[in-house]
Amino acid sequence: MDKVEYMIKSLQKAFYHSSDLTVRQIDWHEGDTAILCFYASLVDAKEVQKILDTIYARLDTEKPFWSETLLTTLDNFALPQAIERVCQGETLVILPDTGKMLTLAITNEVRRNLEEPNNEHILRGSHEGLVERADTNLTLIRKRVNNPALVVKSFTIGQQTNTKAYYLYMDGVIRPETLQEMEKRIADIKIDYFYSIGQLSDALEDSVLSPFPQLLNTEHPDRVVAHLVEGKIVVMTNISPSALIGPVTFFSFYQTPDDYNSRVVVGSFYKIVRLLSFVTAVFLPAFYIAVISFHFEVLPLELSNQVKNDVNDIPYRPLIEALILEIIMELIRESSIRLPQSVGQTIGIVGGLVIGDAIVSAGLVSNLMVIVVALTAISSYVVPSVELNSTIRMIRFPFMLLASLFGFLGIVVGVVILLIHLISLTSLKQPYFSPIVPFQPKAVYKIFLRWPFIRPTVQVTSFQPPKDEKGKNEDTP
Amino acid sequence: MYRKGIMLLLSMLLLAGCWDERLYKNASVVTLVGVDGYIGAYKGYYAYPNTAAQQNEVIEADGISPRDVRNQANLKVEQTLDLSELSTILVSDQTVREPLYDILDIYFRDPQNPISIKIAVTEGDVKPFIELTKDLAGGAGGYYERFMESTEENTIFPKLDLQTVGSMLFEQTIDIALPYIQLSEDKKHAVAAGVALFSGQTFTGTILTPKQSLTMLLLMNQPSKQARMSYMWKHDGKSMPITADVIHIKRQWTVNEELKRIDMDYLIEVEIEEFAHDHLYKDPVFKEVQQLIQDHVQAEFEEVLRILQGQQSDTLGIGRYIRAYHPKMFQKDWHAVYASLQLVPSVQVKIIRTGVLR
Repeated sequence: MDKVEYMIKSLQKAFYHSSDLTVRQIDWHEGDTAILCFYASLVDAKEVQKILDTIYARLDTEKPFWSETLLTTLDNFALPQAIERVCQGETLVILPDTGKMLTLAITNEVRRNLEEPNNEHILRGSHEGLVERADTNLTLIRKRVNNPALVVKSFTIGQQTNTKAYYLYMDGVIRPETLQEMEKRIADIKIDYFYSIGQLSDALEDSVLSPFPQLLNTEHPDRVVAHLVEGKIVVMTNISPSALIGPVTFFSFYQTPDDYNSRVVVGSFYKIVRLLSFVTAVFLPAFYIAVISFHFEVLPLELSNQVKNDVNDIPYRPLIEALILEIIMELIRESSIRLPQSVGQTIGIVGGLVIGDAIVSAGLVSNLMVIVVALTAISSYVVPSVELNSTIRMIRFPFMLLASLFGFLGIVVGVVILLIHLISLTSLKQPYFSPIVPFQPKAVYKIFLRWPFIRPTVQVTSFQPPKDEKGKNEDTP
Repeated sequence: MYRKGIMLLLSMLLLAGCWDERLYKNASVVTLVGVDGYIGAYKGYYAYPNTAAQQNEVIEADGISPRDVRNQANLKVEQTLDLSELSTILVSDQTVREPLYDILDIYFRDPQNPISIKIAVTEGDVKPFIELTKDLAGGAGGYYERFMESTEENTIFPKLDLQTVGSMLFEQTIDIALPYIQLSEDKKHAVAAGVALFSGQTFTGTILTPKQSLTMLLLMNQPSKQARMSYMWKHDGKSMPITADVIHIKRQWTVNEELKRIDMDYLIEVEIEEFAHDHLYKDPVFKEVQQLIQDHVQAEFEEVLRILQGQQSDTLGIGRYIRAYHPKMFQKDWHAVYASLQLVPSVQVKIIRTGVLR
């Protein structure tokens, strides 16, 4: 068997005779033969043909650097490298006579259009969203930061899937400890098959079992940039439009680009409204249960008659009553996510009008409970981050249970536990509840207010910079 | 074993709260309580809203003590009587002839009981006053609470609630004056009829008329939002009404320890709110009106002080003042000393505003 045929056989074997693999013998320069090898599913064949034509023409002129173009490289042939390159979607031309291989990095562009992220609607500001391709995402970010200090480092996740991923940071702005911590965690990732961003955030988070997300998940490039210049690390993969941002504080989840694109006073107002919604979203049902079953003397006299009237005919204890409605609420939410949009509207009507009205007439729950649960649901959806939103909707259940067992005392105990947890939580070894604990008086107002951008030279950070500033970024451009 | 221990601990911790639970739907929220009778034979009335009929239900019970009355009343109600939203206690004028604290004791012992509630003394039996709330759509207690608060704003009733009454009852140096209410002629609503004077823990039997109680509150330097006084001004053979609203009072008491005499100087600044004759800007008219009001107020002050001393009711807190600033003069049996004091009021009225009509 001649050498070329043998190589073709062994290549096919190396790729397990996959159907979309093309291995073919072609004519090369001056009677030589070459082997063409690529995955038909990954390669843009027309572009490859164009480049090959150019290279044929160059071979005829016998220029020494005939192989060098933007997209091609010439290397010594080695089977492992060859396999890796083909797997990454490159086209291989093996020259058996010289023992060299020419690779053409032209991959088939499978990408969707830049669309506005569906789960993070904003009113003003950029409507571009990240997509499932890392290079497009990097383009979107580089477009916003035209500065070499924006460093992009690549790594692969998944021992078997070899998925490309990147982490980005602004050199000079980022704290070295944070960078080291992130690099250490990335090096420690032990995932064989990587297919979802959730695997990555699990591997990178400080405490996976905490209900609170410690990495911010966003699809907005402008949000990514805003965090980059604050000295945070962004991790992006080639398979998901989500960027993971860390270290973040609890209050980062309550920010949205809208705050900073609207007027100062308006932005501050909505920031405060959103933060207050945390209180109603978590404590309102618990408060209602506690009042109805322990402390009804706090109701004003005028209201108490009405409340008593409503509550009198309900067969269940307040906790059961609340659970019925809360669970219906969660079912409506869950079903409206899974259903196609056209049907999703129906669910809203069924849930809101039919169930909401009928359940009161049927005497299962009281009117006030419907108001309480509706108000709670609305305030929980105010949170701009999907992760924190679901967290908040979940943590109100333990509070309801505590309220039904101990009344206000139970709620207080719950709040203490919640605060202890939030204060001890860290995000990439940085305090999660940052401007409040550890207390930074100068930064606290930023939680509630959006300050005008009139002093551009101040470096914005979420965390207190270290006291000794000596070693810090002399070389920042 | 380990698992059993955890289960036991958890259930002990979690179920402990259930003992304190009191479900709203199992409680009858009493807003108005009436007390009649005397020790050994009390009669109690409890008004609570019947939510279905939009009416107030009244439960009547007898017992030997206020607590016993409540227990007896509980036997007649399908749910538990709950007094945590109580807003008013009505006591008949016969009952307060006995020490008032006998009735109030149970309200202080229960931590769930509010202490910001109002107390009023009724003319005659309490029953009709409670019954008239039956047809009210709103709460029974709320009716009396609003009634008393609005009267307080007109400076007829002193601003008192259970807490202040409780602390004053045990103080020798100051006495309380509780709101006194009557039935209207058609017996459909309550009428503010002044204040009932107490001496120590017991009702003296004397009632100040609304006008007198306003004077008393001015003496106490407690004018509320409005404190209106109306007088007739005789001028050129015609009578002309004048109404003055007290804006501000400055008082100064000068004590002469040897003579046991207190000079009570009051400077009262008023606004004229009604004066159809007009021309108040003319100096003679102005002076005359000012003098007229001053003379009237002076006379009223003297009269009210005489009544208060006659009943040994130190609602002004003169005893407090004496004990604080002239401790030598203070004696343990204060009420007797108080009655023998020489109180000399002198009033100066100043018109500082005449309304927007110049």
